[in-house]
Amino acid sequence: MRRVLAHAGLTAGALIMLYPLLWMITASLRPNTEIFRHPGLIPEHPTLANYALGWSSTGTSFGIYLMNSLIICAAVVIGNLLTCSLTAYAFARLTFVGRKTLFALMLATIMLPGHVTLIAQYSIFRKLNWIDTFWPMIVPSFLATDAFFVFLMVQFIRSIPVELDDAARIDGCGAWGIYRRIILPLLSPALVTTAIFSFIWTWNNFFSQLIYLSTRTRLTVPVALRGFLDATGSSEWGALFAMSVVTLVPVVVVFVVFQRRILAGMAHTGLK
Amino acid sequence: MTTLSRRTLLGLGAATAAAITVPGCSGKSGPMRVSWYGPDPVTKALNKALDAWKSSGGAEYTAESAPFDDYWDKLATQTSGNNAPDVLRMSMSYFSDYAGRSALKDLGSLGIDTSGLDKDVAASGVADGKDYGIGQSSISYSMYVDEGAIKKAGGTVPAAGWTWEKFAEFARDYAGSVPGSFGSSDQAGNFQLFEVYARQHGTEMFSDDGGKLLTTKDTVQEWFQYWADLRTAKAAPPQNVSGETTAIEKSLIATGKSPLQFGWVQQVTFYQPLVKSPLAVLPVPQGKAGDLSGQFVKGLDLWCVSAASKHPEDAAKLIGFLLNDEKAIKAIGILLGVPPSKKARDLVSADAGSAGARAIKYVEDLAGKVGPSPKPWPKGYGELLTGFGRIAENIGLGKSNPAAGAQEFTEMAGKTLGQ
Repeated sequence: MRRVLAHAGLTAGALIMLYPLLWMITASLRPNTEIFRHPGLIPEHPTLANYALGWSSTGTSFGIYLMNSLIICAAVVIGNLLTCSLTAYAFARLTFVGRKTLFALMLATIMLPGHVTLIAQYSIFRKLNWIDTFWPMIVPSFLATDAFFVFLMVQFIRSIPVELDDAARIDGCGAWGIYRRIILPLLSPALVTTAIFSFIWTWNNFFSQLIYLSTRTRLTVPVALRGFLDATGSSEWGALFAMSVVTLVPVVVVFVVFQRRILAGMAHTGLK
Repeated sequence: MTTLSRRTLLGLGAATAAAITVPGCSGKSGPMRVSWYGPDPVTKALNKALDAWKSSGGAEYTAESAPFDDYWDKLATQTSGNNAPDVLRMSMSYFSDYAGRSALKDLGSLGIDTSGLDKDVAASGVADGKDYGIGQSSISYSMYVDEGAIKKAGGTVPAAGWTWEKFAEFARDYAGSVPGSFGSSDQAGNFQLFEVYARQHGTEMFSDDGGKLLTTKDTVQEWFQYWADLRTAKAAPPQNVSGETTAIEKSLIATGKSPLQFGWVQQVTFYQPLVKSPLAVLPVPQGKAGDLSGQFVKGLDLWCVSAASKHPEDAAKLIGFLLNDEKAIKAIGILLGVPPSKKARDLVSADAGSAGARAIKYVEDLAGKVGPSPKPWPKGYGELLTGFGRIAENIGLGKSNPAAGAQEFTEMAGKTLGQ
């Protein structure tokens, strides 16, 4: 009996949490004029017109925005996995001059508000002639600039017994060998966590994509979605919701595919 | 992101940019860049106008656009990073911020043909004796009225609008006779409508140099009280309803819950498709019946050239083209507002029954009856605009009252203006 009650309570809670998502999906099936007129979930005149409209109404196929976002996300994930793990390994295992200071400096970059560095970054990228290209989004991730992930992995590597390194060293591994053969395989839960969060954060990262990209065919999904809304004119709500649903698909796919590993990763890293 | 205003961002950026600029090391100069804000139809129309520019032999260009809010984040960053677009759409709300920081070029010597433009509009971008921008449109504040709904409820609409007193009376009657509806949407936080109200009280809102608020605290308080009374009488909706009905599609007039809405005249074309009967465009309520001196006609959106532009001549030519060329005028229609010249208005008002034609007629009818147009809005206007709305919201939610709100606003104006 108690279990039944608990289940009923949890189901109700889950439904409440899901309601906005469900509403968005059903709203995407309604004509623009009906979206805010009728509350409730069931559309009276369901139509797929919003999907067709949203896909093409900006004059550029929405597929191009999706492709741009995917390119950036894939590059950022690869960059973060490679360089953050290397950097973390160095901080956690190698001894070199200034390690503590550099580690503190790296942590400090987490605490800097983005606006402080925004203009300076913009100027640098402009001098490199990278404005209106994907480079400002991609290149930093290949330089281990996401200190959060570095920190995450440093903590993780510190929990791996040093005896394993010693054993590898006796068997003839150098620093590089230890990283590749010992640390990297054991790090995989943290790597999965990094990959997932890099993907989702980059997928949703609106601001830098807005600032750096201008040409229509180079825009990404979040910027394109915002284009459906404009406070000074009529907003294409139907198209917005339809394309938002489309945009959710890759994120959901990533989650479904990696779901078990995310949970394992979180159990290991203690990430909230 | 929310705690830092765009103005701070712009200022901060200017300082950083100055600090790290390496002389003689600038990026390559590509083709001229044209940038604007606006919803999708605006972007499509301007692209069409730019196509006409290209096929008439105009210089190479690239186009950028963003929705209104995002545009200002992006432009502030671009300007600070010394990478502003050559031709840019500027709103009067931010004009003084940019002009005052020398981010805009003086167009005086560039020979843009403004001879056909309405005088008030041609001069809308003049600050400190320099011409930093040219009006894209002639617009005025207005009231859209769903006459069908009012007639059904047994009311009548006066052709010249109401006085504030009669307006309140009407709103109460309407709300009383049509269950579940309101006489008017709540406009307490509408700073632009308030400017008309403030001018009806005898002074401009801001001093000529933009350093001071001339409107008195009493006037502000009276305004907040006026709407608070309408809310109490259920003639205007409570704050929680207003908060959810800001978007055009969700607005009370679109959902048939109120017969009145306020806005810049050209926005009637965004509301019309959502309302079944034709929307009449009327002057906003007045202090004395028929006295329109509080209202004004102005170019509230401008074409500007950035100070750092490497293509000033081409930029100026393009602006002249957008304002005067027949194909460009037809492509733009009234999407940027009522066109700023008689020639353009005649070209686009062919469709007599449309909301656009009514908007054009409204502006033409107003000419000569309205008051002088105010100076460009001062630096910090954008902050006052959002601050005013926030204060009105707090009053609506019962967290503040009209007297305290008026006090808060005048203090904010004292701090923000004249910096």
